[in-house]
Amino acid sequence: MQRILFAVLISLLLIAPVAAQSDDPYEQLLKELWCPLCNGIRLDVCEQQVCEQMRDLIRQELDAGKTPEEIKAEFVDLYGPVVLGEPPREGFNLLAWVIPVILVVAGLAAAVVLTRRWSAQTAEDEPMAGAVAARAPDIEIDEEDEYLARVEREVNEL
Amino acid sequence: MADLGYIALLLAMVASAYGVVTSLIGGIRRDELLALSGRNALYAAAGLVTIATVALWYLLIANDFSIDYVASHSERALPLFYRFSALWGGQAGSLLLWGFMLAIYGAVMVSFIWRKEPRRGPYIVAILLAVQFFFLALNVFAANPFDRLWVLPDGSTTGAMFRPEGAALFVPADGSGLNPLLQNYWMVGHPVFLLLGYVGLTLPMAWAVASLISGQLDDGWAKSVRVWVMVPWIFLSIGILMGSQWAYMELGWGGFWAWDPVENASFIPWLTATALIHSIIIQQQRGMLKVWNVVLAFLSFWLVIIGTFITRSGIIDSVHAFALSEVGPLFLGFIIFTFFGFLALVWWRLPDLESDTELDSMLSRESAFLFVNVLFIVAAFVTLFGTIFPIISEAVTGDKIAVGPPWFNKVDGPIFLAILFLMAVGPLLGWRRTSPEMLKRNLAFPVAFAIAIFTLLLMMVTRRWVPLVSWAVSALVVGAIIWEFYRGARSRRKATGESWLTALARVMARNQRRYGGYIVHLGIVFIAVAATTTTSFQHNLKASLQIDESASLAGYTFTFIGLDQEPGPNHTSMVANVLVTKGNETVGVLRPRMNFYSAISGRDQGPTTEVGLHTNLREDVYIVFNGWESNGQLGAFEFFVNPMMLWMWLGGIVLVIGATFALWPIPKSAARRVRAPVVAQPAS
Amino acid sequence: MSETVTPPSVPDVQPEKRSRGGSALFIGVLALAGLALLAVFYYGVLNPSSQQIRSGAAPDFEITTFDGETIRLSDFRGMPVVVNFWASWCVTCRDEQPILEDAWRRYKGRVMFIGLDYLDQEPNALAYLEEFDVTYPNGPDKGSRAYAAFNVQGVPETFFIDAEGNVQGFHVGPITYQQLEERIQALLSESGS
Repeated sequence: MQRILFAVLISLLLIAPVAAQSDDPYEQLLKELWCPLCNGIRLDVCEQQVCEQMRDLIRQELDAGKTPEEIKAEFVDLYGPVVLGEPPREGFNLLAWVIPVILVVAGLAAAVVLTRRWSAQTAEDEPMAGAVAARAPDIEIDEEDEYLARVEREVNEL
Repeated sequence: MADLGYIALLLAMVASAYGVVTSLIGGIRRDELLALSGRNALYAAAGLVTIATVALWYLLIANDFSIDYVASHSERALPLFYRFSALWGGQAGSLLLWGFMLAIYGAVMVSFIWRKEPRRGPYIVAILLAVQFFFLALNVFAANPFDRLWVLPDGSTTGAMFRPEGAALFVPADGSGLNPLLQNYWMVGHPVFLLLGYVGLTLPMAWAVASLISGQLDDGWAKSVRVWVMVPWIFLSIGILMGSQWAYMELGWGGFWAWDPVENASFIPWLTATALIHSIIIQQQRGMLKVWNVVLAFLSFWLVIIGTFITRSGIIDSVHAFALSEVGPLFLGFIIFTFFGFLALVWWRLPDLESDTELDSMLSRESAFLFVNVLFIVAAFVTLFGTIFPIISEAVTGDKIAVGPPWFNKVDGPIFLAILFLMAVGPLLGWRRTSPEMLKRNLAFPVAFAIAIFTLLLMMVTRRWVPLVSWAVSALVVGAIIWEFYRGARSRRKATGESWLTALARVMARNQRRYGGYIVHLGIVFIAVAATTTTSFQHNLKASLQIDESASLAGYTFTFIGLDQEPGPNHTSMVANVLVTKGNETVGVLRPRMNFYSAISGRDQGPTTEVGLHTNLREDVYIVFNGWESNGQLGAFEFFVNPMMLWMWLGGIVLVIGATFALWPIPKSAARRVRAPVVAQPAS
Repeated sequence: MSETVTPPSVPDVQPEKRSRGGSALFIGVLALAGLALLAVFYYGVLNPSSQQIRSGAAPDFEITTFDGETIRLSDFRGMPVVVNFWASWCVTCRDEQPILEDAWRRYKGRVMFIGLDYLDQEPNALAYLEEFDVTYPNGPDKGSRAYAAFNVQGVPETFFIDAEGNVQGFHVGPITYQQLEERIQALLSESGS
């Protein structure tokens, strides 16, 4: 069960959300490109004159038969990677993609190691030390409140 | 009045310095009189900062343009309401408000805890006053809101508290007005709540550091600090949501969150504070994660200061442009000082910070808490990393690379999904250990619920897996919450024979933290679902319409029926009337507008836009008016249909209700009444 | 305030000293992360992005002009250069364009002019150049590399580079005839001496 849970967790981490989708390549391309002058504004909703002209250019080039990939590459060349809204996955900027993955993996690995080690230690120390036994079970009520403790214990022992 | 304010600031600074010293000595020597004197210095400083703040308010409301801050953040035509909010319309005023809030927070908290915390109390006072001192010093030395305007011999004007060489006082005929973007009701509340959150995170830090100094590192501090984390957390949550509401209504691009540095600066401490709220529960229940909690409490405060530094020092570009100023280096100094100070303190106390108990099983609630904590921290650091990556890349490659929403969505998105998943599973696990059989039994309902929702959506709504997965996990959380409420009420009913409603109410009242927490989780699910749905299924269309011409989008028809000009107190609005219909039904006339602010000297911000909005639980109809031509015969618009946007704000309300419920002091008498083994009383 | 506090006699909490175990590692990692962060901030404060290049060697750039010629800034060492950043979507650029072209025609051979087109499209840019009958070399600033190297704050912005290739100054916003004359005279007098 632990393994399954963990596998589910990891597979969830591998899922990356993507931008909204559209059937029209023009609309779709506008949703994947970003205003080079503003912070975090997509090309399709940007009101700047420069974006207006960029949209016109995309329309013309699509009509001229260029593929969206070609246009994207051309835009990156012309305006810089800023139009992608994210660092390109090459050279030094690859770090922007690698480090988050390292952080996630390292964090989870540390958590796994910690839980493993802690639970292994307790297994040796069985039966539990007084400090643990003295603690109330899964409740936040006053510890003398026997009544609810019982109700609550039933909840836990369903 | 300016003199009074300035003198109050100076005296408050003196009182703070005095209080830091006496409290520290009083604490170390266990000298009650000294400690008491330190506490009284905190009260005195609070009173003095209040006087300074009221003085600035008075100057703003009276429009005293001889004061630099008033002249540059107000004007004669500015409505009274915005003169009041101009206090946080500029840097000097914001810093003063920071000090004011800290003073009030500090005085309230200290008056509550002083008797209960004879050992920690003086240290808490010392820490609070040290932070207070820093902010007052910023006000006095770097950004004085009480500076007067002077005209220098060469004819130029400058702001200064005291007469510069050969200068004469200068009173402009009118002020240069408040930044139009701030003249919006969301923008009045947003900074206040955000600041209440930011400033409030000083409190848990003060607790943690005071506990470290005094050596009282038992679980008591985790218990006592809870309310002083939760209150700022609630404010911070409201502040962030109000900020995104502002962005949604004012910036006119149909979105609510752009992963802008300023937004990130508020979100990062929220993540660590949320982690802290969860991990103090483990320390309280199981005596674990002591180091972690102390670090988190400090980290949340530290990240607030870092966020302020990043956004105010000009080291990163942001659309929320703040004036560059000399406070940047001072903040950096404070960041470095607090970092090394805290590190030394933790190192010194590390031997006392070992856990009381060990973990029993991987499959337990505490391990779920541990994992979710790790994820929160990773999310915080990843977001911080993305925010400052442009500086890093510039330092190494010379190119300032842009890190925008696609990066944050791809990197943070999966982490949030994992957190959401743990939100569903965690509450179903018991403390210490849970048998896989029991987990299976508890998961049965939530999983069935999630599968049902997933199948339904797959068949009826969409085949796209991003929203589907997010919805399914959200459904799992909702299922788990329903199951938790159900089994709580059921077990109580079994024991007492009360009606379902009474049992539920009683069990909730007796386990406020637990059920309050579930309600907060529900609010978070609302927000998550709204965010995913609206970004995945947004429709938008740009169109220029002649009068009586129509455009249609996602089942709606938009008809431009004309342009109105409406005068405002300090601006003129051009309002476009757009008739919105759906099929044969009339939705209404929406009135998006552009506001043109009267000639504001030294500022050409251009007009601000305010969207026209029709909202319901299903979707928002959202219209941006971008301009007109031909004497108002032609209007340029952008139309949006944003599904489920309202759920985001509802989620915020649910979240606040849940957190407030968790904190609400239910009187002891009510608790005692429950103890008597009486049978069913009617729910009241 | 005459309030006195009577603390309950709390015994000094003195747990037996234990070793700094795994927590030490955690604190160490955290300290390293914090130090890295501080280093980044320190760098950021020392190198504010919000300031144009004011002096020192001008960053070199290479562009392919709209006429298909490849030119570098360093090709013109020995002659002062006026580098103008503009764009066809920029409204105020139109105010200064005739002034720049006029100066270029008068100082041709003594002062070099280069126009760098920022975030633009070739058809729009060509129409703009034709409209103002611009004859000095102009080309797209691909990837906004020169723009970033000079730390330009917005178009139009004009940099003045002396014969040795050092930045002598810059002008933000549309430049007037008078201002341009003064700048050019300053460039010429310096390289003449």
